[in-house]
Amino acid sequence: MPSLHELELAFVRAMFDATDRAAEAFVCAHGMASAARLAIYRNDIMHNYRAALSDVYPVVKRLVGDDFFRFAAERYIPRHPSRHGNLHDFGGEFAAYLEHFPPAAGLPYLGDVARLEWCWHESFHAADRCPLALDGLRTVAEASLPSLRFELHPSCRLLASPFPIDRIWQANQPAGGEIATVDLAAGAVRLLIRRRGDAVEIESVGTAEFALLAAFARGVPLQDALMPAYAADARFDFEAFLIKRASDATLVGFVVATNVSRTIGPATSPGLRVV
Amino acid sequence: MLLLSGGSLAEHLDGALERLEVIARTAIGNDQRASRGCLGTELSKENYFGAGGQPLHYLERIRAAYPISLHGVGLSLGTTDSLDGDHLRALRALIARIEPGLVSEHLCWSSVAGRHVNDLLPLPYTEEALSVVCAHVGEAQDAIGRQILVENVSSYLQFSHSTIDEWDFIAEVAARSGCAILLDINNIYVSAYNYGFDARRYLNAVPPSAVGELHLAGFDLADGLLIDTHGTRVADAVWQLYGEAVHLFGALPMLIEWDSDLPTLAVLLQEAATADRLQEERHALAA
Repeated sequence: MPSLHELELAFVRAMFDATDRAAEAFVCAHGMASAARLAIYRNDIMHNYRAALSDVYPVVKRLVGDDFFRFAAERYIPRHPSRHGNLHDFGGEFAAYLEHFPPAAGLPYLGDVARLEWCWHESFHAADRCPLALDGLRTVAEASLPSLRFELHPSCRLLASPFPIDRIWQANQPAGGEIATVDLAAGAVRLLIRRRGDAVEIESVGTAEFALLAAFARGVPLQDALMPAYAADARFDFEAFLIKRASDATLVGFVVATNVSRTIGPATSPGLRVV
Repeated sequence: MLLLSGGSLAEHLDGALERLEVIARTAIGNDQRASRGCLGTELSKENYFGAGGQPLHYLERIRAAYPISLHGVGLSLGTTDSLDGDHLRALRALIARIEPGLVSEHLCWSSVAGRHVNDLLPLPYTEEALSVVCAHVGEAQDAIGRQILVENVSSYLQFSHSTIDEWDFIAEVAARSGCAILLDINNIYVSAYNYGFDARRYLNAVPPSAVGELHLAGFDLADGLLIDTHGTRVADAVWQLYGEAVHLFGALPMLIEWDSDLPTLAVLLQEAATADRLQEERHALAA
């Protein structure tokens, strides 16, 4: 008689490897073979995971077609098992998997398109936060400004790609018909993916702004975060950036020097000078 | 009494919210009991484990109008792993935000050695499994600070070393852990068909005082087995069994699970009306 743990291990192995038959010995046949009974669960589980991947990666599916998507998904699923009881957390490594999936080698942008769809998925479910109240910055001592750490909205994701993945994504939306063709040689993109209200938006941003947002996302203090931004564009206008990104809730808070959080409240009149 | 919604409402939320509100309004119009809070919706809690955004905003809108039951599919009460602390914390946060009337999970397991299969897998009914499930139900109830209901699942296989009948197992889980039982009448019917036991024996073995909610659903027949698909009308034989359950357990919150191949509103309302009629008939008989 197997222990419960032994049974569970054998059962799960059988779910992802039909040639692993150890669990069959524990199952009553009852007029139907044990293997066939286990296959009901295996088919159900694979169906659920394929459906979960289809929900998160509709553009990838459209680019490669249903049959190829299923082929790729069925190879991905056993190699990257779910680690959570929440199915929404499943599928985060699909982009990296596709990038090194030899049958997909002809679509070099596929991995980045999948990455964009995962960013969209994460952004959709991320926490809500109020926009940054710029008034709060007035109370910060001038000497502390260089060490400010700005917080991005929890739904913000930053993604750079050598391919025009935003246009590929747009052209493959159910209602995205206005883009008929995408020039793959159009050059690199730097994208900010974030939610405004309930709607996820994908915005192409400049090199300097992307560098600054990426530095904020890593918790880099303002003074150091600005260096790569100015290196990318010496005329980068930080004040305009601050006003715009506070009002669209990309920035939601800031932390002064140590760990004192100075958030929040609805945004009021912007307009102070920080630099 | 009834409200009807799918476990995976999030996937259909745009249309479903409207539909839900229509059903709810219609039911309020027809049923004075609704005003006493009998009306509600049941939602698969994992669909709302995200930290924010549209799913939770819709959920809050529904909650503002109707009682909610949070129905879990991912806690894995029968796992030989520890319960997932993050999952319990997410559940606690969602309960605090939504204040559901009922919180339920399944008598099954879905993970081992850190690997999840996100499906409702059957347990062997042994003393060892009973200890594991009771300890986890107790831990879950302690973590969220309230009683949960545990639901019997449909299953397609049994383990040859099981020593306890499922009805005695679930009754013992309730007795030892203090949880309530969510009795899924369709699941009893499906498992009874698949293994050849008497569904009435199951109903009669469950302690009425422990039963806190009933479920109904439709099944499909495939390769000689009944499969719990939640995608069709409730079968006549299951309605009959439901009538007997109402007789045994009284008027309880009841939910028709329908979360694939969603029907028209008219079909849902017919199903709800059938359930209401069976309750009224039983009450009339009892009076």
